[in-house]
Order: sequence, then C-alpha cells, then structure tokens
Amino acid sequence: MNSDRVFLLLWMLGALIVALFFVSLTIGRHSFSLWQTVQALLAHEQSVYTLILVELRLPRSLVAIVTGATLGLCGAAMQGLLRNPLASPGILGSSSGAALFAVIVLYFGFHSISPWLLPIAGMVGALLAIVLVYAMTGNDSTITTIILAGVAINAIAAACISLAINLAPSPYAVREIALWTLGDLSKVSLPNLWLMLPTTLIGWAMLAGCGQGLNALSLGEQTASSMGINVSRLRWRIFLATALAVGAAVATVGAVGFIGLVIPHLLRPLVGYEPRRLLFASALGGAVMLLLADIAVRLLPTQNPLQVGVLTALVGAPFFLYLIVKSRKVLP
Amino acid sequence: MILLEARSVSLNLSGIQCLNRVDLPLMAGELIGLIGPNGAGKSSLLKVMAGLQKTAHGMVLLQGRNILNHASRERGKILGYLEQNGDIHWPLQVKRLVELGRIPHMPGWVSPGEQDQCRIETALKQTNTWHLKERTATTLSGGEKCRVLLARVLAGEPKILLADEPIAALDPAHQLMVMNSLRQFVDAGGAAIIALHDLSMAARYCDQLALLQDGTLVTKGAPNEVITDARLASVYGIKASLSHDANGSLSVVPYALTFDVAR
Repeated sequence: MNSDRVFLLLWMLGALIVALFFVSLTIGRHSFSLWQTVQALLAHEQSVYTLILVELRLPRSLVAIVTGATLGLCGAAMQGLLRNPLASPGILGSSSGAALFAVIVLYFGFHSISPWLLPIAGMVGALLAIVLVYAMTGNDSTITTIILAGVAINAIAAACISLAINLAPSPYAVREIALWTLGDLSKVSLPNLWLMLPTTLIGWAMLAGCGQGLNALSLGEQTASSMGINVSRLRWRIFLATALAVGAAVATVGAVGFIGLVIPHLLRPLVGYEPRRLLFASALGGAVMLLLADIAVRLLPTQNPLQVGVLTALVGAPFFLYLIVKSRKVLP
Repeated sequence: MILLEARSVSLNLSGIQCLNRVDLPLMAGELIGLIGPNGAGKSSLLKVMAGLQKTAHGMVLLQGRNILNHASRERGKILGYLEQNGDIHWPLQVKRLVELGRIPHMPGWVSPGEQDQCRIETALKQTNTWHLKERTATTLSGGEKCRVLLARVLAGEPKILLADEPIAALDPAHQLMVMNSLRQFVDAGGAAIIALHDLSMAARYCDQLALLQDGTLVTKGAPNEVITDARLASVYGIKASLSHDANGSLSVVPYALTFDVAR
C-alpha cells in the first residue's frame, strides 16, 4: 500500500467531513437557507434561524466530529496496543466509568445544580476507572491481566448503572438515565464543546506520538523493547490518553458504541494494516461515521427521536460481523 | 575489543534459578553459538544480554557501560535482538515490516529517508528476501518469515546481534541460508550470539561455543573442544557419533540416550 494512496484516503475522508458538516448544519425540524442565515449572522441580525444554527446545530455538528474522531482514534490506538482487532476504546472501563458517574449525577439530580456537573463527573469516572485498573495490575502485568481487570471494572460499572435504574426515584429519572446511556447529540451546547475540548486535545496529542511504538509492537513486546520502545510507558500513555479523550466524549454525549470498533477495522486494509497510519485515518473515519449517524437519526421518521448510539450499534454490529467474515482469511 | 559482556549474571524467575553466575564476553568479529538442552537458560541469557530482563546479580556491559544505563533507543541502534518464533501481528507488507527495523534510527513521525531505504534494500538482499518485498508477511512460509524477520534486524544496522534459535523449525536449505547471512554479518565486522539446537550447524558456523546446563556455563571454547563424547553424555544425556567432514568441521549425529536419561 503506497503512501500516495494513503494520502488520497486521508484527503477524501477530510473532504467528506467538511461536506457532512455542512449537510449536518442544514438538517433539522426547521428548514431554512444556510447561506441566508450565515449572511444574517455576519450582519449581526438575530433571528430564530441564527439561534438554531449557532446554539443547536453548530455545537451538535462540532461535537459529533470531535466525539467521532476520539472514538475512531482511541479504537485504533487500543487495537494497535493490544494487537487485537476486537479491542474497543472502552475495553479498560473508561467508557463505563464515565457512564456510571454521569448516571450517579442524573440519579441524584445534581445536574439541576449545575449543568457542568454531568460532563465533569463523566471525565472523573473515566480517569478513576483507569487509575483502578492501574492500581490493580501495576507496571509489569501482562496485557491479558490488564484486559481482565478492565472487564471487571466494566462489569462493576454496568452493575451499578443497573442498580441506579432499578432504584431510580421516578420513571422520569429511569427514562433520563436510560436515554443518556444510549448516546445523544441533540442536547449538546457550545459550552459542552468548550468543556470537552481541553482533555480531548490532550488525549489526542498524547496518542499522536504513539504511532511508532504501535508499529514496533506489530512484532511483539520483546522485539519492540529491543528496538528501544518503552512498552510499559507506551501502554499507560495510551490508557491515560484514552481515558481523557473517551471520558470527555462519553461524558458529553453518552455511550456511543461501535465506532471505535468498526472504523479501525474497516480502514485497516486501506492503510496497509500499519498501526501508525491507521491512527489519523481512524480519527477522520470516526468523525465521518458519527456525523452520518447523527444526520440519519434526524432524517429517520421515528415517533420518539432516535438516540444516535442506538443507530451506530444497530448499523455497526452487523457491519462488524460482515467485516469479520470477510477478513478472517487475511488476519492472522 | 569486547563489545558486550555478561559479568557473573544470575537470574531468578518465580523462585527458579534460570542463570547462575554466567560470564560471557563477546568480541567484535566473533560468532558465539549458545548451546545446551531445553531449559538450560539460553533464551534467558540472551534476554538478559539484550537488556530486556533485569538480573538478580551481576550485570551486562554494552561497550563498557551497564546496558541498563544506556538510553533504550541508543541500545536499540547498537544491539539487535531476534526473538524466538517472532510474531507478526498484522498482515504487513514485507518491505514495511523490514522498515520497522529502522525504528531506533528514526524519530517518531518521520518517514524513512533515502539512507533508510538503502539499508532496507541491503537487508532484504542479504537475506535473499528481495523477491518477497511486495508480499504480505503473514502469508509467508516458516522459512521465508524467519528470513524476513532476520532482514528486519539487519536493517537496523546493529553492531551486535543476539538471535534466539533462528533456525529451529527450518528446512536444511533455509537453515544454511540463515546461517550464511549471520556469518556474513559477523565477517563484515559485526558480532553475534546465537542460541542453537543443531550442534553440527553450531560447530560449522560458530567461532566459539558456550555450553549451558541448568543456568550454569559449563564451558566455552572452540567447537572441537566443547563438543566431546563426555559432555554430550553428561549435559545432553546422549551418545553421538562425532566425525569431521571434508572442510574439517565437526559433525554430530546423536544415536542413543545414555543410561541416566533412559532411566
């Protein structure tokens, strides 16, 4: 797979993001001319439409891009690190940790005190999950031990979320918790974006430097170490970066599944299976997929608004199955 | 000049003594064959000498300095390590896989330059794998895979090469190809320690043999001095016919277990 074709792929994904971004800005319950509304904005005229554009659709589209990119990037990094195409960004419990803390906030109604509490609690939950995994496994555990610890953390978080739903004080709270865990972009605002951005960017930056180490890991941990890669440091750098970025994403939009699993898997053959090249491509691909899904939930004529996480799982899971069947001959 | 030296190295792994005060210096231009039965500590010694495993006692000196005090990337430039049954986890193209050997020489985001490409090409040609460069690494045969992984190590231009059973599970032709590549590497000014099970191959290609038993270095010297009837019996528990071929190198053909082991 030569570099020119990889570049072409990246450009195409980038162009697709820009195109879908504009489509996303024009789609919603109210239809109005994007061009005229932007002109009105530039002329400092206030109208319902400028408000809808700036306060609702712009943040919604931007958060979709950022969240999708995070999920794609973290999925690619995690799969490269664990050398397993079945790994997802949340495999160590950062997603469910974030979800659990957000659910606790929803359960006790803390979010009515300050809307900031929900995303902040999510980020704290994600970090706490990783810290717990680290505390249980330490520095020189095998990757299997770490994954098992992650599975345990995931199970504990899922059990506590079930408990919260079970004991919820009102049907309204049950519905709120349940819908939130399904993933939703319709309620995000610009302040949400500003809040998620710092930790997300730190996470992205930490992952950006991991490409070479992930490439080296294609030959196993011993060989990677012999080439001067500090495998243990690389591992925790990726875990921490994933907790920061995925934590922020889940805290803002809820649990959106399958993007981090499907996108790296789909793009891997197109970048010659190289983990380093996959990172950036997956980030772009993840943004494309979440934008598409979020456009689709707005277009689908359902009685209740469809949660975006439901759609990504509905489309992602069968597609993932198809990819596995198709690629089982190539993958070792 | 001593390039790499194990000094009184001892290693305990979960209560089992894997290495017991092993001393092994490696000079420039020297090919040392590390021999001994399964579980004698060959792999452990190579890992320790590659700086991948900390020791309980003793130390490993790389160019006169404790190997653990070298920056890991600098160590990676000087010392290449070829894992036993090395894994290839993704179906990478062969030339991209061999390119991974350049990692110690390349900063994170840089693509390989002309010099890197040149080294990759040389490594592929040295190991007779140039014709495989467009292939997918995971679809190669065992012998091809082994040579490609050797090319990966050589592409990093190490001064020292530590290889863990590089010819186990290869057919005779591939065994000779790999041993020839290793000999070439050493004759071109490198130095290598290679763990081997094939005693004839070890005797034919290596300058020195180091014999390990239960983590202890039994003896070290020229192949003719190390491989004797008495040692084959006491260390390996075998009887073998020893003969010299036309080139004067020792040939070892085991034919029976000694009484001790049969019991």
